[in-house]
Amino acid sequence: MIVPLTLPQKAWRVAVVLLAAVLFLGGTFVGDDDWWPFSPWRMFSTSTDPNGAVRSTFIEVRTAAAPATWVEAPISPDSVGLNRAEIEGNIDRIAKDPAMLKTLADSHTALRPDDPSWVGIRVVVRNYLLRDGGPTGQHRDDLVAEWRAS
Amino acid sequence: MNWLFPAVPLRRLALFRTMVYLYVVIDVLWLQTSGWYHGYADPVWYEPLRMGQLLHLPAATVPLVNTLKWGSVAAALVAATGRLPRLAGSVVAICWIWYMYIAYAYGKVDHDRGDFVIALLLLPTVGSAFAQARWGRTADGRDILSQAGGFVLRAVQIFAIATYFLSAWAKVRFGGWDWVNSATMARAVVRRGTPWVKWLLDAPWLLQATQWALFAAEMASPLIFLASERWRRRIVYAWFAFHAVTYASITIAFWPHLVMLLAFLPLEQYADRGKPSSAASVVL
Repeated sequence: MIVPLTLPQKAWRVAVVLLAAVLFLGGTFVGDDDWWPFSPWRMFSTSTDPNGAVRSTFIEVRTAAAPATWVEAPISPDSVGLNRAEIEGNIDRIAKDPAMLKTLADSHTALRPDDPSWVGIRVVVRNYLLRDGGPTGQHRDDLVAEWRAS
Repeated sequence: MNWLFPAVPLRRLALFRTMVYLYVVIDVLWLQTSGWYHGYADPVWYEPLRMGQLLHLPAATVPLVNTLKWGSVAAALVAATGRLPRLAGSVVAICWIWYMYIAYAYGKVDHDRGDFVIALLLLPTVGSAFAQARWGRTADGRDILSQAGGFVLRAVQIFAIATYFLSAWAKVRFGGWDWVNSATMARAVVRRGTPWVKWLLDAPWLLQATQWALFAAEMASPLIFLASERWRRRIVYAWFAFHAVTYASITIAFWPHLVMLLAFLPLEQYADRGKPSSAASVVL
């Protein structure tokens, strides 16, 4: 037993597929990430210079329990409400306005009320140097921004 | 035009639909949880995407993310049973898409999930086809063949494969034609390689050869629609194998996309394995 579609039922389905195809093609060739869900499928699409550097971002914090020492803290949603890539995607804004980092301390307190609160945060970009497509074993750290509770 | 509307067993569509909605439950509860945590992030980090500007979507709050999370789960559990396919399916589509929007409107968009929107938006269009028999068989046990169901599976196939083809063009656009000779995979292994693939960093040429092979496979991916049914399934199995190796190497898997690929497979035949059956094999 076959349940067929009528011509009008087929027509609007064809129209939907064509519209979606236009949006996905547009996203790939002229759009950007903010076109989601039609944004370009750019996973691993950038070229990395075989003799350049691989960047990796991390944060260090000072806690109320030990305010004199910087310790590395995870950039994860269950710790600060954001993940590492989201911090990396905002690195220019953070550099211009380090006070944004205070909101991470607030989110951390809301998500982990039992942890000692953070009284300082700094964002560091670590550059792993490459030669001929492989790591040299050396790295260089850049301090992007720093916030301290006053 | 009938290529877009093959008459397929409704049981295949019903099984695919159940898997999609059970996957939604797993996805929301365990796999894509960053949207939920954005309820706790300060609105200063909210960067509305085009969709949010168009629809005036606000920054996340804790009540909003809880509503979307549990709304997705509840509606998906109903839709997975085949009941209220239009209503429950539409609620899943709205809640899941909004929840993912919140996950991506804080500075980082995941690039693997857009195609799943197609499955969620189109599955509710098969609602009426189930009026006669919810699990796709007539009273005397014969398969009901549906063009509405075939359309959904075909559209899911098209957009699942399109992601490979379009990702190859994204590499050309953002990485340039020289992407194949760049250190992109070395970068991925440095950043998140598992212990058993770190040795690849001592053989960068092998990583570059893999880039050539992947790029060629992605560019050629639409040819799957010209292949015979037997080869089409083999190609789908090969993509599954590719994603399994990727997961073992850098612990990245495009889960919703893997569910989409199931639309290529004769799911009702797999379900019949081991059971005596007179159901004829139907080629999609």
